[in-house]
Amino acid sequence: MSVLHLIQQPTNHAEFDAQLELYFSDNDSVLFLNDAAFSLPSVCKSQELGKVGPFRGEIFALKEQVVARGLMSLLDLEKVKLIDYHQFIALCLQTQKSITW
Amino acid sequence: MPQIINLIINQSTFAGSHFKESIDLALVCAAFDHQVNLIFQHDGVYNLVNSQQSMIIGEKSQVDLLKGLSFYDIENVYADIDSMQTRSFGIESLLIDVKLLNASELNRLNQQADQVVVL
Repeated sequence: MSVLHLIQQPTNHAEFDAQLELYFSDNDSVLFLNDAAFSLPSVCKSQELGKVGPFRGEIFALKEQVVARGLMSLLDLEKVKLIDYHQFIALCLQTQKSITW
Repeated sequence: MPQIINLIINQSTFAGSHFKESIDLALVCAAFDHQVNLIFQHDGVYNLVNSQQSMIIGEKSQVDLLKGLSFYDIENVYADIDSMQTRSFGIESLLIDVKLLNASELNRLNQQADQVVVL
């Protein structure tokens, strides 16, 4: 079963790694919302260091929220997919359930 | 009598009115000739990220507020280097010039202050 994880609070790559190991499955997707978008530079770094473990799901963020926070130049866009609100809705419909953290 | 006032901002940019209220307090203190040390720590370092365009999500821009601090004689702006490293931000990502301090330097700064305020 695929799950969409909605992350609302800022985290760092150590906390995110722990969360991934415990709660996230390969088919899951993760969407960073609001101030959680600030975590993305750290999460990108985490993936570079190979600390993400078995997680092979996709990581998303809302482009508008990323731009508002001045994060565009700090992200690796091969690792984080930027979407708009319509794509957000589509993502919710594609997954079987969502969990808000 | 002028005092040394350390104002610590430790919450992220859009987490309520914390940032705006802290800056307001800093400006009032500076207006009364107190020496203000503005310290960005923990999630508070997110306030310093450059290229912010908060208007597109309907939030007021804080860029001008930060850039205008020196006009109000608030020259001492510090950021906790550990908080920045944990969050993968370098000095090149910052909106204004800040002095980077480690935990022991911040501790010393707080010991030297007459008042330490966290809103």
